[in-house]
Amino acid sequence: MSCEKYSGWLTGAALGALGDAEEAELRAHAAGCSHCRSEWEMIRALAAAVDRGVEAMVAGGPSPQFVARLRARIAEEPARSARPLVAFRRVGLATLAAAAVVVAILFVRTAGRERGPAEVAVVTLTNTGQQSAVSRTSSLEHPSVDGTALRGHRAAGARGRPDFFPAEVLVPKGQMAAALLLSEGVSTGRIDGGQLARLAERSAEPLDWRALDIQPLAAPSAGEEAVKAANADEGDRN
Amino acid sequence: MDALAASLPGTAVNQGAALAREFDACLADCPQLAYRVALGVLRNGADAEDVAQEAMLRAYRNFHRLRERAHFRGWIARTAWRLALDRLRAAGRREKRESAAAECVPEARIEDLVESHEFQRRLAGAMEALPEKLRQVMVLAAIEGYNTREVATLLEIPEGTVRSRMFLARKQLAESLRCLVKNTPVG
Ligand SMILES: [Zn+2]
Repeated sequence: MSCEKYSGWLTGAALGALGDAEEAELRAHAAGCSHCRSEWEMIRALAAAVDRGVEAMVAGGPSPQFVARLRARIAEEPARSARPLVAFRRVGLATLAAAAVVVAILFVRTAGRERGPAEVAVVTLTNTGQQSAVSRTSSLEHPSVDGTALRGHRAAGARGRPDFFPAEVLVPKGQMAAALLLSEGVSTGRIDGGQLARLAERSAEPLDWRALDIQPLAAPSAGEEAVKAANADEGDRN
Repeated sequence: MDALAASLPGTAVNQGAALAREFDACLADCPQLAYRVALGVLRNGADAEDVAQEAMLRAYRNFHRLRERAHFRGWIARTAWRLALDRLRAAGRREKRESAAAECVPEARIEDLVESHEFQRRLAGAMEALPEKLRQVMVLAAIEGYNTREVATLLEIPEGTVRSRMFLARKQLAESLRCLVKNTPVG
């Protein structure tokens, strides 16, 4: 019998990667060949030693301070309220989702300024049906934050799943109706989501409030009767 | 309340707190995974700890996109691997192959070999000499108790690919360490 033929099989056999038929043939040979038998055994032991050696190489764990150190670094991280916008733009949800975020930020800011009681609105948008829903869930006496209360996250992160965007929004008391209207406007497309998305990118900057420049009403030019008629129309309408 | 949730702004709102709790749960074993992967590349505890910190911080930043547990562990493992390689390259610490320079003298019976310093030193050299894909599979396999399915999940590759890479890695390692064993016939 030729040991040369089988020496090439020994490593495969020792690592459990030899075909059944070949292994049976090798076994038959090794039964009568002490050289191949010891070589086979040696490679198997060496492979086991390699496994244990690599295990030893990667044994151990981080220091006991690891998690505390990590938490300290996380605490230094900037607030992540604007982050979901980036993700949404990537998945093509941009206009709808970003618009909802803008709605949220605007309301939260108002709430922060007034320091009045607020309600929490849950805004849910999906990209499949382009629906939006705002529901009132609870009332908070003290909106604790200004501009940071909004947290929006993708609930289904896996690729290929329908994207789902729940955001909880603080709405100042008495403005829930306005939130509903705005939400409806976004969902029906009457409000330009793209424009709102661009606004959202600047939402971290201080808002630039400009006084409205309102021209005084033109003096009546058609005499007393015309003014009276106009006032009467106004009165009818009210 | 847990500390992480408290450190997040806007905790009045449930979503952030829930996410923070989920991340907290991952802190139970992911730092160890990141550390051990980095250690497999860098072979230095302090360096591995730094890399594991960076990997976990990046995981935190991306957590809202990585919430599925199986994907999260794989992401951590691959990120730690990449960061460790970057660190190695940046430090220019790729040492000359000691194994190539020093002559291989059979010095031990196979039973005593694993304990020997020379074996570990040569094994480390042989690991570095492996192609990256084989080395990565070998490191992850050692961490995961040589469970090929676990490794396949971490790397998001077919289990058959893991098996064949593991075979090639072990074969190459065994061959380069073969010379250390005294050829004593089995009695
Ligand atoms: Zn033989």
